[in-house]
Amino acid sequence: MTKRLPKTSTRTLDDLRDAASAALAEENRPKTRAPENPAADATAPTERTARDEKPDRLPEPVAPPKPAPTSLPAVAASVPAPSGLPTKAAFREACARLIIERHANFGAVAGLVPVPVVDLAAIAAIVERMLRKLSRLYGRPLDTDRSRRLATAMLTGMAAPGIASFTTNGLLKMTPGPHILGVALTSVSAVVLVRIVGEVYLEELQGEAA
Amino acid sequence: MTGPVVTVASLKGGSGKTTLACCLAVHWQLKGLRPLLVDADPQRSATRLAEREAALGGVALLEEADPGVWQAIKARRAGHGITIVDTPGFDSEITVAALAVADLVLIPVKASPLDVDRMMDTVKTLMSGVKGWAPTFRCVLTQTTPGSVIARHVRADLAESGFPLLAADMTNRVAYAEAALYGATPSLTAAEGPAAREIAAIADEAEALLSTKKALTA
Repeated sequence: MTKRLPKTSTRTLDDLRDAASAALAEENRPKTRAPENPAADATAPTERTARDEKPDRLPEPVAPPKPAPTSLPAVAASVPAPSGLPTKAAFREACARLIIERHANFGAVAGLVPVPVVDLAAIAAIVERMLRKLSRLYGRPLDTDRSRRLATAMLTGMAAPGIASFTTNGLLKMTPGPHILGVALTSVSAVVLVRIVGEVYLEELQGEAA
Repeated sequence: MTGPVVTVASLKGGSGKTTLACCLAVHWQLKGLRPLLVDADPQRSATRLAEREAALGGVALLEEADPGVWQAIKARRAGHGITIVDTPGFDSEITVAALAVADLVLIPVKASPLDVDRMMDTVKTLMSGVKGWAPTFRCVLTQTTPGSVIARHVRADLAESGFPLLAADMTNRVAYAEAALYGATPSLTAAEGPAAREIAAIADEAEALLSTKKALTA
């Protein structure tokens, strides 16, 4: 360069990102009522820094992945306090758990569909989508064909103990009277089913990554 | 067939939004993508251009300078391979509405500090205006003087500050204004000329981004 020119601007994209997420957190604060929300707010900037710092941190040895916590409160525990940056493994696991939670909630909605075969198909589709998202998170993209087969395999494998509940629910739905009972049961069992499939697959992925 | 939405936005007037939007629309029209050009700018520049002789090569045009533009886009984009939205050059609800439906946002920025500052305000609007959801965006250097120090300097500075830039510039050329006299763009008047090649390069980068995004969200 022939001339020495001063910097065009001192602001960086990260500054803008931080400002936007701070503004968003500010906006959300008055509305938060559940204790889990402040935690979610606090993790957002941490995750961001983790992503931004990644190139700098690469030469350092990556901490070994933690043993998979099985209980739900572990989600919060696996994300370290804002003071320490989360390791790559912990960050990925937290993301994976969010994906599983989200799809389990989708499952709850799909379970509400009051038509016997359609709701199972919907749950299968949700599981398939969840498996694809999880695989992508762990850098192992699945093609649609494979994820579909995997979802079927995991659902049928999983469904073996739960099969009785599914068939009785199917019967309940076909009888016109006690609709509500069947609807509630499948909705709950769908959440459990989707979550278990997700947990098992996540463990599998973590095992491969280690 | 419903194609993606490319919104050309910048809160700075005169940065080249309308020129870029029209050039891309005509380029994709010539490629057979059947684009829809949405003029969301109350100045009606794109519409006025289309009223001239060459009518932008027959690109389908929708004039909707209204905050409800996103609904109009959703309703009309079916049957078009790609939708390009030209936005007003100031902070308005129309801009936010056009950003909210975008698959890709292109921000034209001239190689000058005032334009760069305003580009950053645009990015800020992009990040806060749509409630924390930020669509993919790229800055495009416009009206640059080829080989100039300031162009290289601004490009290097933006890259260093983390702002994603398209590799292709839209350099300052008389071909754009000359073509506009006929209501055309360089792709129509001089298809092999340097201006048309630059537009093609920008369009190719945009297409690559859109197809990557589509693959990632499939």
